[in-house]
Amino acid sequence: MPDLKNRLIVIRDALASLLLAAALVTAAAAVLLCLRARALPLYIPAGVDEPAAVIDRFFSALRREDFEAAYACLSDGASLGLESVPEDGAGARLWLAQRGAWDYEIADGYGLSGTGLTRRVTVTAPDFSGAGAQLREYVQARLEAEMEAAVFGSEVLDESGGYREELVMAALDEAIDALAADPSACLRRLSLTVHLEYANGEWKLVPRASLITALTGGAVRGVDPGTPGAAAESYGMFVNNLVSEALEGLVVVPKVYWLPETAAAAPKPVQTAFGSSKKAADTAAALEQSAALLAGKHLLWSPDAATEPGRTIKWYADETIFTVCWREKLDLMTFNFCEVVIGHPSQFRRYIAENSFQSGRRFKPTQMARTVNAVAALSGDFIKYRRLGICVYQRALCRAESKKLDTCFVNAAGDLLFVRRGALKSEEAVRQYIEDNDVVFSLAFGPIMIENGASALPKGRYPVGQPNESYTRCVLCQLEECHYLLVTVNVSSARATTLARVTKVLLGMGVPKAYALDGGQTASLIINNELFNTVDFNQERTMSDILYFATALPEGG
Amino acid sequence: MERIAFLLAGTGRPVFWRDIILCMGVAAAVFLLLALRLADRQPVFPALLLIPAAGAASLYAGRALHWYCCPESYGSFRAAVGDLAAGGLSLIGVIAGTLAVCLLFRAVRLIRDLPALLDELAAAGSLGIAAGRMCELFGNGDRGKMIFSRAALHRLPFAAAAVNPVSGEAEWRFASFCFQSMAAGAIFLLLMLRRLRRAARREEDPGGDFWLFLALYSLSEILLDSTRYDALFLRSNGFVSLEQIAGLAAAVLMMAAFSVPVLRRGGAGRLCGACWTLFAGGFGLVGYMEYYVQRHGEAYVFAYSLMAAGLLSAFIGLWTVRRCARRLPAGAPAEG
Repeated sequence: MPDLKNRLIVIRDALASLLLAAALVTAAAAVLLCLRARALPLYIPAGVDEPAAVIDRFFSALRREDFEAAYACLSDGASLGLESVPEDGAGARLWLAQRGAWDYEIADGYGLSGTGLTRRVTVTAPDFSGAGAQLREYVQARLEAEMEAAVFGSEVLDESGGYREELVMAALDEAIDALAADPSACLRRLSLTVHLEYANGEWKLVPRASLITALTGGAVRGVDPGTPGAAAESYGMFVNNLVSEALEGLVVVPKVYWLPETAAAAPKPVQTAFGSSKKAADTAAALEQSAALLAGKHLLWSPDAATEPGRTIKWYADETIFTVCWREKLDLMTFNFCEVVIGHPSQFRRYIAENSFQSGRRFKPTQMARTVNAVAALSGDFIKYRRLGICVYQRALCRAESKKLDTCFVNAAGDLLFVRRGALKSEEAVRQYIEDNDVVFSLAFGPIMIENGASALPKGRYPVGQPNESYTRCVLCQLEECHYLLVTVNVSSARATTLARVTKVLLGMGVPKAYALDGGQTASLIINNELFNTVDFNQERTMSDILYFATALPEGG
Repeated sequence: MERIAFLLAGTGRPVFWRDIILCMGVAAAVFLLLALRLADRQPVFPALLLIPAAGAASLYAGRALHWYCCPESYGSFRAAVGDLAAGGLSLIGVIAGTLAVCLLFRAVRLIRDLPALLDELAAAGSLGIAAGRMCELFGNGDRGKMIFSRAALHRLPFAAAAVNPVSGEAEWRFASFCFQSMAAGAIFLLLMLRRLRRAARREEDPGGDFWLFLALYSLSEILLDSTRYDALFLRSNGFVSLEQIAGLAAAVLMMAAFSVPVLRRGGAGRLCGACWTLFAGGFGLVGYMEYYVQRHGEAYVFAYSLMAAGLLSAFIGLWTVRRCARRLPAGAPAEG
């Protein structure tokens, strides 16, 4: 018996040693694998070719214009919107020509991305962006032929001596038909990285904006899949601007630029359109350049403005956005202003970190501004810091706590709509309000400072923002349609920067609508990815969200 | 970020590096737990029952706590606990779930020597955390707020790439997970050395390894969690994170637990008084430096160095009180 007992002890000790060794080896192997994983190639067993087969099925279905079969290859059953057709006749014809000319070639080898695979695909599609000259040439030739054939000049020319609009448009229609009939001269090969992910037992393509961009020859950018009709609408804008370019000097077709609502980022601003100077008068050229955009607007900024001496003024001006930042001392307080005029309300946007309300990560406001290619940005309401307030993001209701904070909703027209705390009594009421008012996003901090040109500060206690204390302030104002003022006010020893004092100054400037955002160290006013104001403690604080204004000009012009 | 390790033959189903590393960490912990059970001459069968029970409890507790801190990440609580494959876990919840099962096993007398089991779990857990934390290399999470522009720092242990999902650009962020892994690894080595020393000296300290693990892990997490850009926060505040609050709570509870016998046996002596001062003063410094680093993010080297000094001070105070309490025979007045 003692013999058996000893043997059991020996076996036990041996087993303990073995398990200890296994534990240490497993842990060490885990760490080593981490350090070496990148050097290890992706192993795909022979015979497993489903990821590439999905890509092939997708593109061959698109070539047949069998959109149902094509979209069945996409994850989450998304639609790319390619089956919709633009409303405008010219847009519709070119769109159909686009679809009829698709071709593709799948490259060898997989890559890795996120939680999936990637594969390079070369897509061939017509790129009509350079067709403006071709269309113009055709139209000119047609009009000249009409002129030669006409007996009287008035058959072809109008009172001002220009070609008659109906003749120009008829010539354009012919030109579009000719282009659509044979787009071979416009064919372009675009290399694209297609993403695949494994879900519910099969490989699927991940629908991305870049796929739509490639299939439309670069005409449609930033349109996220899944938004019905967005791709066709965006293509319609592209064709409108193409026609405008082609008919320049013949017929006025105003160019239209807007951004898809669901685009995660805007086009990069043109760096040469930024300017800076210590002299207010130097903004005169930018103001003149933006005269069409600023027509009818009553700007607060003028080249004669009494800005803080020695302080740099910064601005940006292109066809779709004008913005100017300056600093002024008012009522012994230092105000940083950023006046923004945009051509389309879609250029006023909100960004929550990683473009998702679910993200718990925090970034500096300048980092977020860079991510989305903002021209100008303002720190937001730090929505993820506290679980108060109503949050609407990209039209989706993310949080419906409506009792504690005043809400600033922003609708599709870019207007600020104020709702007092407690006014919307239930989640259903919030949803109804969003639907009735075409709300795109919301802000939850407050309080409402100015409404209809009068002070609207609350009488009682307000739970956030220390309104009655001296604190660095951050304010969003709307002056007119598509015309805004972003404000930060540094905390001052000379004058207590309470909300009441700031409200008084803004009222004196004629601001009709103003809403307080998260102040303190969070308050950040940004232009061209750089801070314009001096933040508290001289260092940016990481946070969850920003508001920003972007150019709608497509990248590259 | 690269995540797929390989595709399975036949189905083409992907297997991810993150899951492989996590499983290896869990496996290492399980092997070590069983090894220590055998080495300590403790019954193995209860441990074999404990592993799946604690595994399930820790997963659900970890998920429930993650849902509480991030309700917006899930459709509902039901959705959060219904599908464990998608979503995150709180390590505090995992540890709490494991401890709860241990207490349950003790209550139903499946385990008789709870301190011994906790000591074994402390060593196994620290090894598992050390290996398992490295799985974050294959994701975007558990990285720091600090972004390094110097190429020399674009490698472990200093920084790991995090891909911005909107711009697609990679940012080299402080590799918090790597430092957490190294801290857990250091705790593991320390615990194993203590075991060897106790064995050589034929000493006993039931529960001592567990307390040491709890103290060192809690205090190290107070600092390391502060560096993260994706820390979990309670619903009531976004200033200090869940891990920091839990770490502080654990340290305070331990100090209370160690101090009670000291006070009962004759009151606080000068040494204990000094220890409590070190403890309180250390945490005072930690609290201030947490506020400081949130305001002066670029001064993180200075802030975290002082925070580490504060945590060390708190640990010295805490552990010295424990040693005082242990050295007192029953009924003897306190030292100092």
